[in-house]
Amino acid sequence: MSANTGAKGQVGRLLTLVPYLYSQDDDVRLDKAAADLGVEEKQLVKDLQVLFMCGLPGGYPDDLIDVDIDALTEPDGDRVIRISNADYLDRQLRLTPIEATAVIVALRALRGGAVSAETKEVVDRTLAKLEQAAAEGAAGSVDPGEEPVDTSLVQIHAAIATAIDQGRQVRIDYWVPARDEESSRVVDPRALVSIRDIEYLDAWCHQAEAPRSFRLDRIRGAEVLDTPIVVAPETGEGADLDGEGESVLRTDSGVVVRVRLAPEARWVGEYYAVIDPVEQPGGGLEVGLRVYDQRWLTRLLLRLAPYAEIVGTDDARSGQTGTEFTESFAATARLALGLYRSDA
Amino acid sequence: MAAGKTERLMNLLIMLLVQRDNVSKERIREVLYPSSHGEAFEKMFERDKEELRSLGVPIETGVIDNFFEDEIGYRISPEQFALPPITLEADELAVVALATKVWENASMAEATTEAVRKLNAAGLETDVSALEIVQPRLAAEEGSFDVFVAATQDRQVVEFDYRGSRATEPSHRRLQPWGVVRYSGRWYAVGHDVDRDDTRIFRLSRVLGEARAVGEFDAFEVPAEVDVRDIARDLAPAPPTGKAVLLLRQGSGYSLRRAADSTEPGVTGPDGSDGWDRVVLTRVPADLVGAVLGHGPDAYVEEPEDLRREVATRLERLVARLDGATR
Repeated sequence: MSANTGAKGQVGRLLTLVPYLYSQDDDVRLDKAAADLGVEEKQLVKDLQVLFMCGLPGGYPDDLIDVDIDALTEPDGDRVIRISNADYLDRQLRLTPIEATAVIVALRALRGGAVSAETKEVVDRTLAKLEQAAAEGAAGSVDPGEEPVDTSLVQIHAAIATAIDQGRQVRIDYWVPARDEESSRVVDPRALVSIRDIEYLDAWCHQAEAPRSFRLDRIRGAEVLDTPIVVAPETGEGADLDGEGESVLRTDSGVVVRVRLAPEARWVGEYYAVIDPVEQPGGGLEVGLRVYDQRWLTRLLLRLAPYAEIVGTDDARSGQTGTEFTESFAATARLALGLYRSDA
Repeated sequence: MAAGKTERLMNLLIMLLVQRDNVSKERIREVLYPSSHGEAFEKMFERDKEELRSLGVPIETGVIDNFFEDEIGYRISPEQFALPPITLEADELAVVALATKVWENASMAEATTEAVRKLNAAGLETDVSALEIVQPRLAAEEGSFDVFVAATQDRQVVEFDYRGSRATEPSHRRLQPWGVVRYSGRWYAVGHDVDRDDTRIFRLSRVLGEARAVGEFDAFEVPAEVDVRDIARDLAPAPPTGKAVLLLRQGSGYSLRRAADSTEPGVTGPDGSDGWDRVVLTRVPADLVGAVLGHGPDAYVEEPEDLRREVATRLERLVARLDGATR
């Protein structure tokens, strides 16, 4: 909800909350509702306390919506949200034109990314349902166009998933950036793991005779072999990330870096899991980003250039301060710019 | 106080929603605004109606047939109010879940998330692994994007300063926007240019400063035969040769190499060293500028010229900012 303060924002939240509660088969606890709806628990309780005062225009106690407030606020309450007498609000409000446009355009873009005919069919089915649910003519005005997509990654993903399912070995062509070489190796695949938007194959590597993790976007080809895997996965084993000394099954909590985003880079706040976003004057946003690998942050900041800047970090352990990072980042940026200046 | 007002808005909504017939203004006043009269009531009631409407609540106005004189009344039709029943299968829910990750634009991302919540798809476990799909990303970094999209929906005129590709001086424009279209990776506003009295398209990245929606809502109608996509295709410059030539430092830029059509290894780079590869892309990925920038000193644009200039300009602005901050 755009405006989380004020009456209008609160009404909007209530109109989403009531149908949500009615649609759930089981008891809904406060924490689950808060997470599902993207609202803080404290705010949710406040909203429910107001809902408790609303109802039919008769003015009799029976006319009011009933909310079990004690269950939410008393120390011995079970934190389950119970409401009744609000059946007339049990259906979700229509999509606003902008909501209809946003979701339908996103689906049209997804359609372009569908690789197989089956997946295209699923997207089309979903689109048809949503277009019907949206007001007529909605979303016709924003067109995402057709962008070429790279489908090889999806095919590699599918091949590896098949191999894992069937317990078969895979031969992969893998590019190791640190050594700048591509090599072919046979692995016993174990799982596909996604960490911060990057997908990895967790496997036993027969070349290294050790567990290894491979970034999916660095696998250039994958061939499912007829041979079954020989090294069964062991639990609790940290895998080495292509020799870069990082474990995919990471327990490290990373460093939180505060970054100030100009309006042009605001999407980062929606796209990544950010910590404590703070609105900035002029439409910007300051967010905390959990950083495990500084190269990731460097890339993101370069990509957003010049619409993002580091404010500081929370980290005292590593000795790496925000200033130090900013300096090394500035050096990288100058190097990049230097490429264009040298030939001017 | 916000709670009191929320209560009033909710009660107004419920009252109009549960009554089968139009409710007269006087009856509304008696029940919900008992301490307000005359102009103060009118003002408050108008504002409340507008707030509900802006949330998407359809308040209808009708006439109550009285014996003596007709009176204005209000209602909310449950059919108009509620989202039509929609049941999504497991695989469709997975698609909807992916949709929330598509927009790289804050307000569109937020609107998508809100829509998905209304579809009661929030909090459901979804399995996206069965879908064979390349997650597309719709970036819309242009500050004026939101203004044009909203004005397209509200059919409001937009005023802005614009510098065309050949123009040296910016000009002030007024547009009745019919649509916002992405074509070869760039966003365009398509519509009727009020001053030039002609159909025009405007590249959003060339809009200078802030665009503003002005005047009445529903100020114009979009001609029935208009297909904004066709117009954009006709009027937008052809994709810049449809080809980009990059130099990538050997052993880097893998994500860009993946999309390459041909690679010429071991060429001399902009830094005078030999450790570079020349990579030609004919399928230019979305947000190539961002992708090149992300590779920092390992990627360099040879052509096209406007891509090259954009990367260089953004780096220049970044370095200028960093220098300003560290000194």
